[in-house]
Amino acid sequence: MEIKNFKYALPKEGFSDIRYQEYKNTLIKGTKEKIDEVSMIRKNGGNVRVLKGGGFGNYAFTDPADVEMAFREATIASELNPGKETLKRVEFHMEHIRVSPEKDPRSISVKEKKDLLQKYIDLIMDNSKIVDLESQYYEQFTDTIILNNQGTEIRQEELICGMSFRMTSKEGTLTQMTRLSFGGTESFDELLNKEQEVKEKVKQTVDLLHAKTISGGNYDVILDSDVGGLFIHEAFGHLSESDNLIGNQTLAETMELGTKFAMKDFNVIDDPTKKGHPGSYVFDHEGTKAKKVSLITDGNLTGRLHSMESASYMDEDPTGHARAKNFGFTPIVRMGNIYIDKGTSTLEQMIQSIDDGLYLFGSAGGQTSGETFTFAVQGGYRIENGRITDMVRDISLTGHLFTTLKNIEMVGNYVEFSKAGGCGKAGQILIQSGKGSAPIKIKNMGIGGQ
Amino acid sequence: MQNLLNRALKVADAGEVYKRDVKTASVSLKMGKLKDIQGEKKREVSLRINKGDRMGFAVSNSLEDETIVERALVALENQESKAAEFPSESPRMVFSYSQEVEKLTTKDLTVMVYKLHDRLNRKAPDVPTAISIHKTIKRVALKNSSGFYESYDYSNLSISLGTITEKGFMGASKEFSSGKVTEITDRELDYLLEMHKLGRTQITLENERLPVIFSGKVMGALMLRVLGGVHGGNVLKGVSPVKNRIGEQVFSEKLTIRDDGKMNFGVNTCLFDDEGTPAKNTIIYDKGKLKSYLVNRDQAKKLGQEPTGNAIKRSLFSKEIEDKPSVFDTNLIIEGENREDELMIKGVKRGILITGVMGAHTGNINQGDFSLNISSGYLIEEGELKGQVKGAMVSGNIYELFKNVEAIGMRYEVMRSIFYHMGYSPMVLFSEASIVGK
Repeated sequence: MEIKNFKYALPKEGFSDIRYQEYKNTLIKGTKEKIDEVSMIRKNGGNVRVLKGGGFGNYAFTDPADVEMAFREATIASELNPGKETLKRVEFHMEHIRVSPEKDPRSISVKEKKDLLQKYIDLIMDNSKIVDLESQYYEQFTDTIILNNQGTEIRQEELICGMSFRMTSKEGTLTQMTRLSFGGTESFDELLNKEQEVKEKVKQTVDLLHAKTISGGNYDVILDSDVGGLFIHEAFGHLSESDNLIGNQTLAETMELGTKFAMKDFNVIDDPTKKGHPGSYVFDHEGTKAKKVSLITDGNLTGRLHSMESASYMDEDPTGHARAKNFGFTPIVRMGNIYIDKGTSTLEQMIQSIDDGLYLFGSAGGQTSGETFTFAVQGGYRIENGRITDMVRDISLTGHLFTTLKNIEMVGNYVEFSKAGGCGKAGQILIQSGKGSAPIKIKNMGIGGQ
Repeated sequence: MQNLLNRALKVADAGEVYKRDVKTASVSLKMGKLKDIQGEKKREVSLRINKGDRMGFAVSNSLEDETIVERALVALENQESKAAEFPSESPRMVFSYSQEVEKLTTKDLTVMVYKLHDRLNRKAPDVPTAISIHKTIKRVALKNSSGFYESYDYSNLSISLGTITEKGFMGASKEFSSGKVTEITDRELDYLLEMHKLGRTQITLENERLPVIFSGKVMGALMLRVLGGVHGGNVLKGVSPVKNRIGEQVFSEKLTIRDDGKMNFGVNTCLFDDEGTPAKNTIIYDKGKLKSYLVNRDQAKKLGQEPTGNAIKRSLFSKEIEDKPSVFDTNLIIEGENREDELMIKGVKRGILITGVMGAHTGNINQGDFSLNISSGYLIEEGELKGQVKGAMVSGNIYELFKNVEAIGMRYEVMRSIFYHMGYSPMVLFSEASIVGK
């Protein structure tokens, strides 16, 4: 993979760029008993873009010999779009970024990785109430070249490894499922010595079999850091991705900077430059340097996430948030590491403030569509008269973004980040997407129970 | 392919080379302005090898990749997958490809989106729209050491039509997906605009149990759970609620569900699956009675049934080859006691028509649980659509819900399971479901 093999093909007119990537993935998957799959995937390919007409033309390819054809097709596509758009805000960089993990997973044998995963599988299955388990070790190394006809020449390595588990407990006909993740960084160290966390999750999964169900309705809730991270990712993060605003004036008005969205103690940040999380990186897939963005400051909308195109459209600075799942996809605006920053309340104060409500733990996936969002949690506890009481199960939440943000009443005084990344948008699942939060209290949240 | 197979057979007892050449083009128009136009030409290659009683698997973008055999060997040595059975049975012809679709240029697709925009705009000039067209052409070939060497062509044209609300969010939507070029009728455009108009009246519900009609598109969220139950792997692991229940009346007798890989120009029609099993038409539930699981070759042997042609190299969130073949739907088809769609709505005293949901991927899918946000749903009162339901959820378990099928509509829509299409269903009326309102 050499820069000169692609640089020559960049069309001079208008804006053009190419991202060529080599992927080396190792996936080790286990069942409840054994390791049944080891995949070592190698993929490489390129993605070119041309902006000569009224919009980008984009073409992906896997055979390096197709690079000239790809630029021709992208040029034709761009010219099909009437008009002549230009990028007003483009950064130029020439850098070579290399990974330097404390303990490089690529230097560890497949056997050692397998043995570690098997150790955790055995520990989980040691409890007879656990009847099913899906476990996975994943490792993804990417070597990316990003070139454009404005002078950018970047080569960037990225590395992420982690483990994830989905365990199911069963008693009679009742089953409960939870998730556990480690790692989400470039170092293998983060996966070692997790026995205690595994044991605690197993206990929680089994305890959920004796948890109570709740009636659907509206409750005052406290979201733990994991669920708070999922909430801010789904409910607000996607809306802060500014590619939504291109050509959509009405939405741009809804998202006008300065608009009051929440209480004064509420701050939301997206920071890809924060090291050691799934969404940490140096350059995005357009070659823009990643920046920390304050999205909500003291309850007011103060920033948004941009690609070069959306930054030009809004006449704001690019933030380095245009990324793609791989070379097969065009970069779109994605979150890096989004989090709700710490506030001033202790968890105890938050619990004491609720007479009849819920404390919810463990994210279990979510989705958003414009101003409404939904997500599921792994479980929770009832809060009665300011005290945690019974464990509860089978809970999902739904809400209207702007109402829910206004209903946030307290923000905890510490932030924790989830170890599992991952986000789907426009058919692209991106594992390098991080989230975190302080615990938060939201009043009057819609809960779907039994 | 033969060269790679030869290289593999130097170190293995048996082998299989799978090659897929994919070309796509997509064009979208939002509020009358063309967005990015995208194209793609990619090759995907995978190799499976057997040595002794074990199997190994590796993926690449090139038949000339020098590391692929070595990687398949590493997999074989480290995983406990049993040797795969490579079939030799020749498949019969299916209609999975239309030259008319392949001939469509990116320019033609651009003209098509503009035409659709103009048609909608003439009917409702004040309604902003979002329209996209995605074309896919695939050439799939599979060669194994048992003598199987077959290939097929595949085409698909998927169209998505949507409206945009006054606040700039997505409003009503309709999707179409077929192996050939299909005309979108005025009736379908009128339906979309009618739904958009209803969105201007927002209705809040209480927590209540109501009759519910799931549109063909959103039946996909429920069918994902049906699939979890009849997935051969889940049956063998003992986590399927319908394990050991073949022959039992599980759902309403008004409901038949089949998986038809041979369907003419279906969204997932194939000549053979990714293990080389010829495409089949499998009745899963016949009038509510469980008839068959969906199984790959290995699961078929263990469960004592024929392989159903559902071994697909994809995952829930990706159609790229990343894993060995797993069990997925081809074209799931829902059939049964039909009633005209309009009559079905007219017969509901108070209920909801659900046309969009979120959260299909959450909850315990294999157990049939669902808790879905109704992102697009309409209140029916005295047989009339009254307005759009705001901020409600529908939840329950399909093994309860599917016992209460009242009627099945006539007009088929392509079903959506999260990112991808999974077959076709008309709207289905269930007598009661749990709704969480305000």
